[in-house]
Amino acid sequence: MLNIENLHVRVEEKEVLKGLNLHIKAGEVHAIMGPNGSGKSTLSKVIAGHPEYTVTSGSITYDVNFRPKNILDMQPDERARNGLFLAFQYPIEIPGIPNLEFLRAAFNAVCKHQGVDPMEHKAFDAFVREKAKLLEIDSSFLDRELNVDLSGGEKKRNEILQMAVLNPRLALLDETDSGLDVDSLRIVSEGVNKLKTDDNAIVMITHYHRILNYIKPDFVHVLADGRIVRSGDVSLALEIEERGYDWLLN
Amino acid sequence: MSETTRQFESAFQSLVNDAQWTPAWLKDLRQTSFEQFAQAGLPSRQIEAWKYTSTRSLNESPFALGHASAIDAETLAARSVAGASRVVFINGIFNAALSELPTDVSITDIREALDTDREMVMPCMSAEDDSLVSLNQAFFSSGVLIKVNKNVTVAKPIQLLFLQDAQSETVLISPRNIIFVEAGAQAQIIESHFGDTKNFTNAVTDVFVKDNAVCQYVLERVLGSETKYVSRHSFHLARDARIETFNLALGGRLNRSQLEFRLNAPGASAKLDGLYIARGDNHIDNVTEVLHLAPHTSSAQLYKGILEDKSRGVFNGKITIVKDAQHVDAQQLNKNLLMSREAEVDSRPQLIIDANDVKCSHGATIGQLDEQELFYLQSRAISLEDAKRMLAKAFIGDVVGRVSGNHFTKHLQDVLQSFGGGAQ
Ligand SMILES: Nc1ncnc2c1ncn2[C@@H]1O[C@H](COP(=O)(O)OP(=O)(O)O)[C@@H](O)[C@H]1O
Ligand SMILES: [Mg+2]
Repeated sequence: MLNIENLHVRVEEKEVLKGLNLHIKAGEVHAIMGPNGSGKSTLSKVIAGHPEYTVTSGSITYDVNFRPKNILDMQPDERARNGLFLAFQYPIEIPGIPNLEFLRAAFNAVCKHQGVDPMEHKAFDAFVREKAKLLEIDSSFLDRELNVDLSGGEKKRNEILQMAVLNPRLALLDETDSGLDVDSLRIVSEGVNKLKTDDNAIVMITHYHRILNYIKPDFVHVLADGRIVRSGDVSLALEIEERGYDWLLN
Repeated sequence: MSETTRQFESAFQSLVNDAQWTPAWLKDLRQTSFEQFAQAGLPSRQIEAWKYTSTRSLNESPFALGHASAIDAETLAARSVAGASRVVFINGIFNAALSELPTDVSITDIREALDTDREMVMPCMSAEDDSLVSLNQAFFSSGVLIKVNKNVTVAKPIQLLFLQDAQSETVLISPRNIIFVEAGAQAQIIESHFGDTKNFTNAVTDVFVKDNAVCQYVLERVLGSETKYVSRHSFHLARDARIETFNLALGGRLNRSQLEFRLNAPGASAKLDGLYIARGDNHIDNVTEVLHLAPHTSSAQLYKGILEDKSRGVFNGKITIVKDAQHVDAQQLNKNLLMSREAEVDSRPQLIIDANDVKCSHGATIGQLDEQELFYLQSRAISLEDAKRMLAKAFIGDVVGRVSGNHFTKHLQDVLQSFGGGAQ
């Protein structure tokens, strides 16, 4: 579904990703771990199409209509309409845009892309409230301005609500677990698990083994200094929990 | 006579020699005013308040007087504020058939009023040093004197609706309105100018808000890319009087308002909200002048503008607090959003304070859309164009919200919607 080959990425004159390879198939759950500043968020933003990051070499292809497509030519919104989703590590606040209106605009953009009629306001309202309930998000959230004055954990939940509404084929969750207390982590994880099918894939970027108890990864990768330095199964995560990253770096 | 004033000469001769438009009691005033205008000419950019705005577009062709005309029901409905009484003018000429006059307020044609209410109206007819006011005084053929009597709360808002239709000639429209909201009275006035012609509107309005009276005043001017408009409004506030203004400017080749607030007695307060959106080659200029002439007066203003394409915006806001006007509270904020690299705005907030015990703040910002916000919306499948529109709408959300809960709210939304672009 997603194939990254020898990816080199630069941001403000600094090379952050230095020949990264990653292959993800439908139905898989991947975890990416790695020290701070190793380039995990950069990777997720490059996949989503953030204009600040320049791909200097390598490729990213993503299956659209079962055929691999070079997504580096696609605008971020086009990528999203084709089922790519990034839950941000630091979701920003946008004053003046009500959450519900934002969700509706996003959902309708996907509907339009798929050639179906937008959902009626009332039906959409009910649809979103259902999803919010699943994530135990108070429905008053929906009338608030996008992420404004939400706590870190609430913002993370709001990201997953957006994921639930858009139902992506490939979801990248960038440290969605940090900032969540134990109960929130369980609720969010259960929400993510409910969205998981054989046709979609999830990439979780995390520091902690904690979330992997809820969302079981098929593969665990360690990203260090701009490359994947080790891949394995969930036992690799356990080993990192015990030994840290140092033993992998040299 | 200068080159620029020649554009008005032939129209003036037809007007002044036509007894229908120039009754005997008006002739002198018209003639003196036209001479004053001819002496001074159109405002030049040497005048501080005109530094960023040129009157060049007024030199393109000679002006003619407007003809009475009809307007279709659909257009009228789209421009009208639902639930308001209305006084309709087409090409500057009062149209009785389309008007729905209020029953609880006295409304007189301004030319009649110069005869019947001379002592009320005549003191307003001084042009000072403003040549455009002279021009208006030479030409005004429409407008009203509105008298809201003591302690009356006017049931419905009154909309003064100025519409235009395209004629072969370029028409000069010169509305003149004088409004008295007497002590303890309450009124809502909506002065609307719609036009998608090459015409030039030069409007002058005086509003007197007497002791303890409250007046809500909306000025809206929704113009096409060739339409010219300038206006001068003076609000005179007495003791404990309150004025709340909302000033909407959309489009226009030249779209300029100048609002003056004279807070003459203690307890007077003024609220100034404004919204302007320009695109293409539009030029919008808002001048506000708040004069705190007495202690314990307050003013609060928020003007927001969106400038698209190659458009140009100007905000000139001056607050003056005279000596002895202590305990004044004056706030002013102007915020601009540039939607393109070629759009420009000049923002000049000015404070002149001669008293020492006052609370003042003023500021101006000019910014672009935030890249991170655009990316966030795009990452949620929203197209760049829609993302820009949503953020522009969010930018003006607070000032639009200031008119919530009254008759104008829905009208404003409709007008913004049909203007389109960043406003929707
Ligand atoms: N927008 C940016 N501007 C400048 N430097 C950046 C930017 N994004 C990331 N970097 C730099 O790239 C490196 C990797 O950052 P990041 O991808 O956020 O790491 P991680 O998510 O693994 O902690 C860091 O050194 C960071 O300072
Ligand atoms: Mg990160």
